[in-house]
Amino acid sequence: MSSTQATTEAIPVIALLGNPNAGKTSVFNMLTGARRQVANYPGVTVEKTSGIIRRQSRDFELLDLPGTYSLTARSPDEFVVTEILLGQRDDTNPLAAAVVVIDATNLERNLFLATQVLESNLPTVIALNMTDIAERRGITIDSDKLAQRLGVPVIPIVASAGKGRDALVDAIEKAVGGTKPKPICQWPDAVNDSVDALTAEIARLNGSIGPMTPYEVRRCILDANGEVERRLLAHTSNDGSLADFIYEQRKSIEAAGQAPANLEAEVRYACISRIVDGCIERNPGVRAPRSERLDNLLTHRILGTIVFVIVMTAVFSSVFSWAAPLMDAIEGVFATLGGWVSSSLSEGLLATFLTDGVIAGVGGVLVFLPQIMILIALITLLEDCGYLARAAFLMDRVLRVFGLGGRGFVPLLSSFACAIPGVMATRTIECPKERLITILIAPLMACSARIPVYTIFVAAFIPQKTVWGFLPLQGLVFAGMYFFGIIAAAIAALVFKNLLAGRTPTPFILELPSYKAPSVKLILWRTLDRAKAFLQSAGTIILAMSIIIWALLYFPRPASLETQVRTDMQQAGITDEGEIENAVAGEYLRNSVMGRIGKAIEPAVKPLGWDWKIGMAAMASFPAREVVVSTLGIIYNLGDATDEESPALREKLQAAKWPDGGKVYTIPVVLSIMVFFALCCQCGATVAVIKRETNSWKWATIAFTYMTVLAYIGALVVYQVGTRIS
Amino acid sequence: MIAQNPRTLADLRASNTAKVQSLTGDPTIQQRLAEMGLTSGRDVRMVRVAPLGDPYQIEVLDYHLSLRRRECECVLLATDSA
Repeated sequence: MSSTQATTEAIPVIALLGNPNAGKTSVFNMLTGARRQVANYPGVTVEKTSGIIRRQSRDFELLDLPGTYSLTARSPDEFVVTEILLGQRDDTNPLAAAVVVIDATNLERNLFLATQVLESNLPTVIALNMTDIAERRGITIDSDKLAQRLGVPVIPIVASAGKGRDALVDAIEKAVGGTKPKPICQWPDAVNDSVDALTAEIARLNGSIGPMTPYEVRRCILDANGEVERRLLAHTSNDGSLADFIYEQRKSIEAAGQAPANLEAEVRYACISRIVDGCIERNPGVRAPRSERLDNLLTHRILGTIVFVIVMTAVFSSVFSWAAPLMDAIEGVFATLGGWVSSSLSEGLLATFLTDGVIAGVGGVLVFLPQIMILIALITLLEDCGYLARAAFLMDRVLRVFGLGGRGFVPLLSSFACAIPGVMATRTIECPKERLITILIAPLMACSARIPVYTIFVAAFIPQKTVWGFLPLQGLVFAGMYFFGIIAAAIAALVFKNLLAGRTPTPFILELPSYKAPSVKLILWRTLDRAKAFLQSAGTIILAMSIIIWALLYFPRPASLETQVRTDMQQAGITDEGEIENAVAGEYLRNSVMGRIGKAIEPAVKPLGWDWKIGMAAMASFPAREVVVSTLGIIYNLGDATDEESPALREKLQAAKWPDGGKVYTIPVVLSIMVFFALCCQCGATVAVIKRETNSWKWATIAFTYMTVLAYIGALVVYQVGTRIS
Repeated sequence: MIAQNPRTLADLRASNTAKVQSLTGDPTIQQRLAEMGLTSGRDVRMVRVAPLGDPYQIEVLDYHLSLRRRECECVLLATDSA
């Protein structure tokens, strides 16, 4: 960084830290106006989120670091925070200051992280958040006294209401370039001695890691199996003598009377009690928090389970019922747009490219936007008020059977809308194996893109009967497909649990935050943010894929083919121009690149009971599974203005026949298709997000392969067994 | 005293309070628990057990925390509070 002195006007970078549930996101939004830039740190799955704090005099860059209870680095992901604080990353400018967000209702535990940050030698500002909730609970904090004792400014704020912004920004501005804080916790002599001894030993061995700060050396001794120790050992060529040396240092600390594993916490919490003593006042007149009484119901053995089922049912039914009119509206807009384009452009390559490729492709995906937004809004609402932590608490024991844990609940729930936010939500899972299993099975949840596929086949082929006189058979099959996905995911999880290296269960240490009124601001922000991300992917990957599929279905088109068909039709005595055009379109399709591929793969899909048209539609749906509906539309000569409600496509499917006159779509064939679409990884965006989140093509490939193989086998079994039974 | 198993947080009955004596078991878990405030001499209250018998909901430092039975067994309680 020293070589870039020319850019002295580079804006100072401020790090934002805080415990989970301390309201860090609200503080970030309050300071930056909710505009953020997201990138990835190379080599790890930590997102680099930053925004700009605007001031009249100068701007600051606010770097949002992952929410954490402690700076202890147990994995490469957690180590990123340490590296940034110590200014050791080439991709991040050295920090000018740090802001630590602290929950005023939970002062002591939140100060743990703050005292660690104070040792990183950065000018620090403490943002004392949620002072309104603390007040209501009868907690009064003397922030001036606290500031005096900590040696850094403490600014009371209510981030969700935007209160205290100016004071906080003033404090940040003053802190930049200001004095560095003094460490406030005193370490026992045994620790200081060990730090000195290890520092000398590292210098003696002269490894490739270079000199370490006392902060890192202390972390190395105190964090057994920690990331700092791992790096030190990896960069120091030796025969294991350094590992032994560290072990000896830990032994000597233990001999002095304290287990190294919890020494840091003992020291810090003792120091914190002295600091908060006299700074915090509790009004004993305020009754036990409402939160505790709510939990008596919501985590109750029987009532809690009932409420959980009701809440989840309500979430799902609102996602579907509220989204329906919006989805119709979006479909309407795209249909109108397509119609307008095709009528205002003369028939030809450009018109079909725009209507069939771009508008139909992107529109087919955009219809899911309302469902995704409603689900994200509801999940954020439940998360912000504190209920989702309880849902994880209730579900932990069930999920553990499958090698998952309570933290996997939210990602899997989100995957019912779309696997992309689901896979992204697995970041909160700390155990790598548990996270990987959750990522691998998340795409098996029945996402909203499967709805059009299920809808068209259920409506066309499942009789409108009732079972036991009141249960609609179509609805049962629909619900059955959802359960089928869940069961397949459970089995896959069990297999991965036994196949993958690593152990489960890992610790499940989950804070159950106090219930609070959800912040409307946060819900709106998160929903729009996710919607934006979804639109970006629809505008790039899905658009590109739609164009490719369209081209493969459209080319080649020699004019001689049309002449040939027209001649044949005339000889057969058919004069209806509409019918002839359909036949021409069908012939072009059979002759297209995709059509030929479909013919070529027919032997492979025959055992599933499929003809080449189904095989081709399934092939075309690999970038995005909902494409199957429009592809079937084109294939059955209807043009692709067809949507899944179109009775014409339904009738065409019902009437489709093999060359020998037998019906193509028998019940076993229909079930085989639906099972295939339930299991197959037909979503380019999901594969891309798995690649990004696991940081390797390996797991993206494994997810794609296992799901596709599973889908083929599942469809095969359903068809073969189905035909033998019926 | 010598033959007796030490009482752990997993043995604490719902809505009872006890003091933490020390932590035991895997160092990484000990460190995590200590960071969350389960340090020696601290009051800890068992709030309730989840419907399927695990995990546990406890209260420490005025906030609520969910731990599995395995983690609760790492928290040894002072015996004088019985």
